[in-house]
Amino acid sequence: MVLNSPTANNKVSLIPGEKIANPSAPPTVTHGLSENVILTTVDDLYNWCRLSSLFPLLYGTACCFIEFAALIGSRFDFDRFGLLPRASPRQADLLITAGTVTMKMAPALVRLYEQMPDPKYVIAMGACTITGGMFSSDSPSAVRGVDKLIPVDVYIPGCPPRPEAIIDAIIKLRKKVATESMQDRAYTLQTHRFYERSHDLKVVPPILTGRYLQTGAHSAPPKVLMESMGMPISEAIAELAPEDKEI
Amino acid sequence: MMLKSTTRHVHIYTAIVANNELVPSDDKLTLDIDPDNEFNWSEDALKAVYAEFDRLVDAAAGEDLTDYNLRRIGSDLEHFVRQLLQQGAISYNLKSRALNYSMGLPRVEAEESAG
Repeated sequence: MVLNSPTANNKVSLIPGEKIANPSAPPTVTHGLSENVILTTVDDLYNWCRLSSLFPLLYGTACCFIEFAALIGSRFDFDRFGLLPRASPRQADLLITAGTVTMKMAPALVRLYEQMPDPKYVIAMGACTITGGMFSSDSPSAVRGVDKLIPVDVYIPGCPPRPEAIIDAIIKLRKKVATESMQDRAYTLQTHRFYERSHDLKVVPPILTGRYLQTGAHSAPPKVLMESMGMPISEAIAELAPEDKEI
Repeated sequence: MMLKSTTRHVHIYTAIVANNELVPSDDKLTLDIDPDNEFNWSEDALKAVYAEFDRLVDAAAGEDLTDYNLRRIGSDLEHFVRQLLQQGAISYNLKSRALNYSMGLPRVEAEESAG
């Protein structure tokens, strides 16, 4: 595959009339640590320490976590890889996104990821976190893959994957950790490109209060829905219906 | 309470940045572009994204300041970033933390199909 950057466009032999969509290129700015010290042996020792004690965050949003919980249990026993589940992102360095992620969960997931100390790794577990899975065609709320939210190191396909598949992914991640170098550490740091401005949006009280079941809209289905389901409509609801438009 | 829309390349907060921290604010929006460096950004591309953000926020004037409306802006901005990538104004950073090609694999495109 021919990869190019906008600056290297003239070097690549493209037939006239062709262009590269979604190009890729190495960064043009060299980071400070990347080209000055040689730390090979220390790297090996350091990487060995890290890959032998990957602490995963106890994170599960759907059925994939059942398989992950099976992995924690004695039959599959993932403690032998040095994995100890942590309940706090501050102590974890591996995030296994087990289960569907919705747009409402997305800010929480990104926040958990940002709270984890560097170096950190992400394993996308299951079809839902790779592409949206069975929700990918018509769901209004499912995120089409967590790589739209956070960087993903290893993908595990399956719906849900077996615990053996997670073990395989962890072995692959250990191999990735083993090949890393401190010299490249600067490339993994975050870069903030902040832009601030005022806005004219109307400030309203919070809408996500967790009390949506008490608002009255959920005590009975809307009239249109009841009609289409063939449910008997009580007279009270039939009278209320004209005012129920906003529900 | 701080509202936010955070996707991989577009983070929008109802906050201002002070001393490297986000301070919630009701009348300011802060945009953060691609903190994980999936793309190589040029000054021009960044300015284009900021201008698009300005346009979207101005277009949303008068609407409620809720998660949903912020997400709409963020989602439109992600589409704009994708357009920039397809035009070649930005490119995937080969030295990023994890190379996911989250907006489509690089490929050669003949003019007919592009047009």
